Amino acid sequence: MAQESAINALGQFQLTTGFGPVGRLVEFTNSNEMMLLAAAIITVLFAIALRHRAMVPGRMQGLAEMSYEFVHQMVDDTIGHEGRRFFPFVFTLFAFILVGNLLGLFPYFFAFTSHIAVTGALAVFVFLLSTAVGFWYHGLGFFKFFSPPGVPGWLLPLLIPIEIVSFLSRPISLSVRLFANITAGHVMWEVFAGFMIMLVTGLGAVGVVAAIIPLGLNVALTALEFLVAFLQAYVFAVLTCLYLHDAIHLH
Amino acid sequence: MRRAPILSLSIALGMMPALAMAGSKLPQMDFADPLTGAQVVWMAIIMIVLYFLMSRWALPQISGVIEKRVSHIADDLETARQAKAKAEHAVTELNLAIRNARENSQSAIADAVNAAKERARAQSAELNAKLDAQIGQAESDIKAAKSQAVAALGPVARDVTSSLLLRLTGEAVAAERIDRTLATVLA
Repeated sequence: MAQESAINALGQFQLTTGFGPVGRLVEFTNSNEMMLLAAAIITVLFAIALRHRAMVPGRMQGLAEMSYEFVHQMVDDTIGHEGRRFFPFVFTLFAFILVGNLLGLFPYFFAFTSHIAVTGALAVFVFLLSTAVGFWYHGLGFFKFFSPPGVPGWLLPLLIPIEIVSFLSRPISLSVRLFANITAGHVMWEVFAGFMIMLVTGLGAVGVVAAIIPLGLNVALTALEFLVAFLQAYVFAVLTCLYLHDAIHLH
Repeated sequence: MRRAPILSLSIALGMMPALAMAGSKLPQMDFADPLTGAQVVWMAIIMIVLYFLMSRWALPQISGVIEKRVSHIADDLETARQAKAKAEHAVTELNLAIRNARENSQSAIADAVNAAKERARAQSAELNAKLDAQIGQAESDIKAAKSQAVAALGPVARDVTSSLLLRLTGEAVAAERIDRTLATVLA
């Protein structure tokens, strides 16, 4: 039985197809359903926000404007003035990951950011984009990025490989950070929940009382997961900005 | 006593995810599953659509709303600043007007006082002249009366002297002689 609940803890990440036979035919997965829902929520939020265009914003308009200004500030502060052209991209990325993380917190919903393929694809795209931007801005001069200024010449043979490795590891750290955070939170949730069931079935009335402990842990974990959901989306967006900043300004 | 089974259970359970991950594969790592790749393709489609929705429609509109508000606030602030400047200008003008009015009234008062003094001085001068004229008149009247009286004294003295001399001596003295004597006495 313990084995069963532990296996179930990973079952929540199992991909299936959504949208019935049509979805099965085009391999539209349950994770894509959540992505579609996330995109729809973001779009609807802006549709509601833009319905009135009030001088004094209501709640939805306030939320949309807050998210706009939050990301705009982040892009401006991190990338600088040239960052404006990347703002829609960073905003889309941030909103998509944030809403995806938050949707994943609901029972029976699927956390698509818990899939390394998803976060990996996003991270690789960010990596390729920032590299392309670097070459586009500086041409071959972008290779100067690997030799930081003010470093004595004899250190360069050591430093340049380190810089290259750290540059190449960016997409890995970016994707694994998000994937691992979301996965770990969801696994812990389900483990504690399974623990409660085991206590109740194994110890009866005593188990019901004892089950308060994992329940309390899960409540605390829920609060933490909300923080993580926001924080990881923020970190992903900030690092994207940082990589774009490096590509544009080199250092 | 109740803690021991809980503790052992929790340790066992804590091991479970690690055991499960070691034993069975994470669904996320199952790259043989065609759905793992398929979800990325669909994600790309969804994100491209979302990106164009955001960059072409939502974000410029929100930016427009925010900019409109910012410019509206700036306009209001500018209007308020102008109104304040206007009010300050009005206050300085008012103060100037008050000062001018005070100065005007003070000079008017001074003028009036001067005029009154002038008038009083003219009146008193006129009065003095009149009084001087009256005094002069009175003095000349007195002088005339005095000389009249003195002129009238001569004949009386002559009459009295001649009648006294007549009584005392019994003889009349010549009028010229008496006059001469009287003139020396009275002079």
